[in-house]
Amino acid sequence: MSHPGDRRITRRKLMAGGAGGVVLLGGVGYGRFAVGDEFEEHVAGVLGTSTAVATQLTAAARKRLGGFEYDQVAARFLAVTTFPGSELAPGSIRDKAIRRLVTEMITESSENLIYLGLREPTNSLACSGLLRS
Amino acid sequence: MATADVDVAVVGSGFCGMFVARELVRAGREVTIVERGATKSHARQLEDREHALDIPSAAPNHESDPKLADYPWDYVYGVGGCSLHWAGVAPRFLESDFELRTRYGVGRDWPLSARQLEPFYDEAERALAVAGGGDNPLFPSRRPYPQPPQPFAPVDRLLAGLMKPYFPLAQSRPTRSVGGRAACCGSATCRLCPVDARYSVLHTAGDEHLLDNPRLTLRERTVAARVRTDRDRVTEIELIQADGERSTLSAGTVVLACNGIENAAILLRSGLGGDDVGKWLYDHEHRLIYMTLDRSARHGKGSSLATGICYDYADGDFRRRRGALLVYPYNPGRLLSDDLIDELIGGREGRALHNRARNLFDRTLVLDTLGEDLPRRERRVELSPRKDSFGLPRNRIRYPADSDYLERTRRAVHADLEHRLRPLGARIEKTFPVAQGAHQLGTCYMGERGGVVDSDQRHHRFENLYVAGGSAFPSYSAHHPTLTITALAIRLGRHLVSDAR
Repeated sequence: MSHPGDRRITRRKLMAGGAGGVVLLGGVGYGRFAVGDEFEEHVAGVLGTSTAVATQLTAAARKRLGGFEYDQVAARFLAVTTFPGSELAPGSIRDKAIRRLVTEMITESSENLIYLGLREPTNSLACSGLLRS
Repeated sequence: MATADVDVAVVGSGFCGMFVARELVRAGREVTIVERGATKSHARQLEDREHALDIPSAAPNHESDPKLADYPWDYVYGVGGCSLHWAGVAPRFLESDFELRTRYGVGRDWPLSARQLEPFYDEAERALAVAGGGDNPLFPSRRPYPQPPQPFAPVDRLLAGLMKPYFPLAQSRPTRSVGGRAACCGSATCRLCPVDARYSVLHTAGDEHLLDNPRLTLRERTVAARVRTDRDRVTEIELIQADGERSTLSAGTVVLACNGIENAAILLRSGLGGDDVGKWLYDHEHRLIYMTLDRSARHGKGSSLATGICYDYADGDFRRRRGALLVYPYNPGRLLSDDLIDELIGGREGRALHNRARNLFDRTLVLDTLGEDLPRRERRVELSPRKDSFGLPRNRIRYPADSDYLERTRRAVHADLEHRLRPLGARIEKTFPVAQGAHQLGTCYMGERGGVVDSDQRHHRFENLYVAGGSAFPSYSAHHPTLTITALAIRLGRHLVSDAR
């Protein structure tokens, strides 16, 4: 239990500080990455796919979330997948940030196929959920 | 007797309500449809990825019993009802599904037979342009389907020989364009089809200009709060519009054609409960099975979301002890987002991650299953002490989902699947529920003596009140309910037409 004026670093304070730091780092980092396609290149590296595929899938996430929320989600993802956030971020913060973006990037079969490299990136869900056998 | 405002009032505009109304209007009757939701075009649904307009009367009005785990009931209040978001699988029930008690000593018989419903099944299949095929001996006297079947996908060809009897899946995702509908082109997002190929009742309403017909009045954005009765007749419906304005509608005949939760709730709000109203609720157990194979499962290819189905667990003497189950491969295969998340959290990134995902996708056989259970009284809809924004009691749902009957089904089928798919090196990795809450059945079931309605879906106590749709099912089959709801609706429409003569 902490008391007013208590300067000890408790686990809770550390977690809160870590989370706040990650968000701050993410915001600063993402601001730089958001220019051009550096963020998409980063996502491509993390997911092991091409920049074109990452661009398509992050665009799908942006469409689902809306621009404002997407930027926050992307910033948190960036923070927890780049140093030092990848090392310092509390596990629960890191997990949540990863889950939030990836879930929105791949929700439809067509996006699954695009990630796997089985289908070319496309802007439409129409007729693109399955490959013709 | 005072003159009614309208000949027939139909509450709800989904499969049941729209097809009852269609039959009546075709025969020259005056019909008013009362619908909580509003009209929303398919194009507009695609724009915002929502089936229904966000208006007060279309807000969900149910809650789970706080003593039980929440259950994700899934329905749409909008013109078109649940036809706006269903997935499009449209099989008939088996003959045995109507005779469960007689044949297997469990559950209930229906007060009508498959043979009696057969001509209405034919009409329903034509209206929905159902694609299907095969010579399934469990449907001995059926006519050819209106549309040729979706061709077997590669995964069907992998399984067909090992999972006999195996047939094309009956579905309302057409192989050829029909009316204003495009043919299915494999978008695999059937709940909101990007090309509007999967059927909704808006297709029928549009093709037949139903909503422009002067004999049909649509009162959308209007809640049917209660029905009022006088001796053995319903006299009028109390209505509340989305803006809060209250009125009444008197009708010669009233058809409650909502989902199984709301039909029961209207009766309960009207003080017309009884031994069975609201009880015996059922939502099919819908579960995906992931099986790891020693070779490619050949997923990701095909002409539609699902194209073949195994009927080996659909019927048999085993139903005395465990339920029927339909099993059909899910052509899109394993959705990778959860796997990617788990792997990333575990530290795998880059090409190693991609290779892992590719391997998982390739080697996972994904089977969709739909299962029956026996009716259980404790699964039920009640009125909550809490009120909705119109001051009406919310629908409180008590739904203990599991049962021994279901568990025995799972154990038996899962073991048998591993056995029969052993040539593919198949092992079950995991199973999990999907798309829960979409079927709301059984809360006003039909029976000649018991239950709430008779075989015409007419209320036992009120001669001009019909409570129709999935709520009238006395037992549930393992088959998707939509085609049966539609066939019953067409039959009810014809009954009301002939009853008036």
